Amino acid sequence: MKSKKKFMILWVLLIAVLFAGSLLTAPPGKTETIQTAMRDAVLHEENQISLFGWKNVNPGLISAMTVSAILLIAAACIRVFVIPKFKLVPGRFQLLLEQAVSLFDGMARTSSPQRNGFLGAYIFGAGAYIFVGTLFELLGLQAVTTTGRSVTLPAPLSDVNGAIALGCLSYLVILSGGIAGNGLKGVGSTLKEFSLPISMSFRLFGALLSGLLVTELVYYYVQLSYVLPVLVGVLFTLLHALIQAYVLTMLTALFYGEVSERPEPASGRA
Amino acid sequence: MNIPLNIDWQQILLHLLNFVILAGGLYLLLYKPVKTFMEKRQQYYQEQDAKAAKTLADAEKTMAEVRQQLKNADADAAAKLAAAQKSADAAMQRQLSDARAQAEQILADAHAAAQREHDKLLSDAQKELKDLAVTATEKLVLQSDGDAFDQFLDAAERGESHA
Repeated sequence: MKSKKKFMILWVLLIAVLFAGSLLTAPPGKTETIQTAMRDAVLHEENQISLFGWKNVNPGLISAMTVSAILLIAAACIRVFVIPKFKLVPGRFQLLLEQAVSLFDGMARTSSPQRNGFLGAYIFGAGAYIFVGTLFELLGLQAVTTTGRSVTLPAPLSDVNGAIALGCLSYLVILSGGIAGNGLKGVGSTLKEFSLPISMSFRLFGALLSGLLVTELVYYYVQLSYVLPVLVGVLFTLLHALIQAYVLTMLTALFYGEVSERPEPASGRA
Repeated sequence: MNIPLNIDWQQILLHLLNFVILAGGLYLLLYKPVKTFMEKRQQYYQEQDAKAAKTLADAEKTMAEVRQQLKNADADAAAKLAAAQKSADAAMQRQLSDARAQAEQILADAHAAAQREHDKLLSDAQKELKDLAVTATEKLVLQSDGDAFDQFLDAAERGESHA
């Protein structure tokens, strides 16, 4: 009982000291205004990072490459150490992997019953990329910009270039489904949805950018940096990770199935 | 030309390259092996299911055959029982008739033997009577000094009988 009381007193004291320290050690003046920080989070005009000394790129691209490296290394480890030990009655981790594959495979099969092998693989990759990429910002990895400033690596798709790349690639995948399923007719039906790449790109960009901006705003002011980030992290990161991964993969699967579906032959005049 | 929102085609292509590498890697390292494993497992369970269904069908077929065999065995047993009963009845009848015939034969033989005995006794008695009569007559003839015929008549009138 005494030791518990002692622990509680020490814990509260530590919190008070850290709280006071974080308030007292705040820089006297901000290096950039909130407007500049917000604007730069969207446009990345100032805070760019050198890509192996070849080109200055947005932090989102560095995030994308880091996420890809993490995912590929994890996948390689799973392939080497876990998959060979798969059992007929799955354990927890095996069940998780099987559920993830089944989710996207099932979505592809449901949306496009005739042609779904490539679609399943694509939406699995896209879903994993969006989900892990969005959660990646929670890690708060730091990178140094060309101006010598330290920035937190954001979600890859909060970079407009990343969102456009994924949106346009999804549209091209849909187009390929149209061509494979219906030839020129499929191209026509895909081109009818000309607004799709823009809507998919900017839906991703807007959703993830909103999370980024709210996080920037919260961390800009010291007073908001207590407790609130937990809520912000859950609302704008975890939920976005799930929702955006689901929305993009579902839309891609639906449109793919629609344009690749062969029209039923006319059975004759009624 | 400045594109709004700081859109950079080169970075878009770099994002695309990055994603294509990631998607291909994930397909080869995770998606395909896991899917292949699940398909193999599904195939294994389907085979097991088919095997179980076949075994069940075989068992049902065997059961039906056994039931039929039991039915046939019952019918055979009933037929054999009936035949055995019939045969036993026939044998019994035969034995009865044999016994009857034997009894009749024995009776007939007994009758014949009795008849023979009777006849024999009768003939013996007659012969004995004859002998006695002869003997008596001889005695009478030899012992009597009168007329034999008169002695005989006297004796007959006195009612003497031959012992």
